[in-house]
Amino acid sequence: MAAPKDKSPQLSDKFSGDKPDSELISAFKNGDITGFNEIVRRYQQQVYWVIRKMVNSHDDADDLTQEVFIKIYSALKDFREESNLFTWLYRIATNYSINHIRKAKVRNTVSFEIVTEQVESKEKKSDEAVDEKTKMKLLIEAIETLPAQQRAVFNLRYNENLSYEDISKVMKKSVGGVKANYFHAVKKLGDYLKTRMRMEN
Amino acid sequence: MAKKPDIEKIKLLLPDYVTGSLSSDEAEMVKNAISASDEVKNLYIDMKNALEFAGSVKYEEPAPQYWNNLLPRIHERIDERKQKSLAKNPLSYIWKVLVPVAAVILIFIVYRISFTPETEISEKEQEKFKNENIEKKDTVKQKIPVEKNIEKPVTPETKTENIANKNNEKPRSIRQHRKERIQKRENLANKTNDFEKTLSKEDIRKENITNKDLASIADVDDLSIFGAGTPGTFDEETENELDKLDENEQDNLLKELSNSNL
Repeated sequence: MAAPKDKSPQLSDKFSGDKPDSELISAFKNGDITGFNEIVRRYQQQVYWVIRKMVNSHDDADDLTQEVFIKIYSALKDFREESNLFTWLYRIATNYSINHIRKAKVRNTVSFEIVTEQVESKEKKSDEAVDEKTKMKLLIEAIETLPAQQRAVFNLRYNENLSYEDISKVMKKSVGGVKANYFHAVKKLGDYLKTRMRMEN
Repeated sequence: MAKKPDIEKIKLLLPDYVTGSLSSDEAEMVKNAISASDEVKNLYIDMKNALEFAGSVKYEEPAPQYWNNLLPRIHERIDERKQKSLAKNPLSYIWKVLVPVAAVILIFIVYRISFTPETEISEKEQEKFKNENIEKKDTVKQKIPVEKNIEKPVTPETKTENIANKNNEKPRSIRQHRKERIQKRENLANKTNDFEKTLSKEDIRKENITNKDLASIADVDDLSIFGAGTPGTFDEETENELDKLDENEQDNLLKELSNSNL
């Protein structure tokens, strides 16, 4: 279950490392590539998972993650630090994912993905594993019924534990709009899952 | 009426109530609404089930080495993009600048090849060329009926037809005939002058030039103009005699001459 609002850390605290982001950015602006490399290392997992939980495919998430960091690489010199780096990263990742969903019409297809490199013995492929796969497939189906915007808000709020204020910054939407999107996303998921459960029973 | 907006607001808080993200006041308010309203209660149950289900699903993690390889792969892709952009720039330069310049040069070369100074013709030469063509057409026109007559097999019937045609034909007047002859001589003189210019001095010295050569240069089929007494013309004496006669007498005489096949 997602962390409650009060307990969830602020975005600025969430990715604080040894060096602050501003130092890494200024290092990159001065021609030090290690600044960029450190940003990639720091945020690669967060960016990957934001995308992965929206597009529901490892390959697509991998491709889009690389694209997001290439975008960062090309635009970081012009980054004026009016917003935080993480907000900017989330915004790019979310927008790339939304565009990908809209282009590929992922909603109409089920793209269940198994990461091939994960080593699993045949013994481990028990009933539990099959159940997990079925559950995953069902969740992906349910998520894919959501419009891209609602999917993004649900992902940022439920999976990433971002506050409504941060989501509104990332999505460039009002807090009320974000709240409404989240409510409708959860309601749709509930309706879909309820219907599917009834059908299976 | 006052309660309805509150229920809508409470509904919006339900997902956060499920996840425990509300403040204690907000949570208390939602709890009361759930116990008071079946609609809110059902909505709460559906949302709770959905979020619990979503939370229970575990996404499969990528392999650990994936995170180590991501940065080098990003740099590879960046380098590829850089190379592509570098490769595109010279192409765009070629298309924008070099191709139009090459096209202009090519057009200029083609123009120079097709209109070299050697092939340019002066106005005088053009006029000369026109005159020659006109003469050639005239000679061809004169030649065609003769050839046709030769081709036809001579039978007693055709012979009488020919004679009848010849009698019906209006013979050319002597003046016309003389005019043509004078013009031909003038043309010939001009052409022989041109011909002498083109011939080598040795040829002239050896006197290898024949009437046929002259005819070929002058582009004239009728060789009679190169000598008196040949068919198609009269000698000077007969011409002088013809000059003395009036037109009717000249015509009669010419008819007699043509009928006698001289």
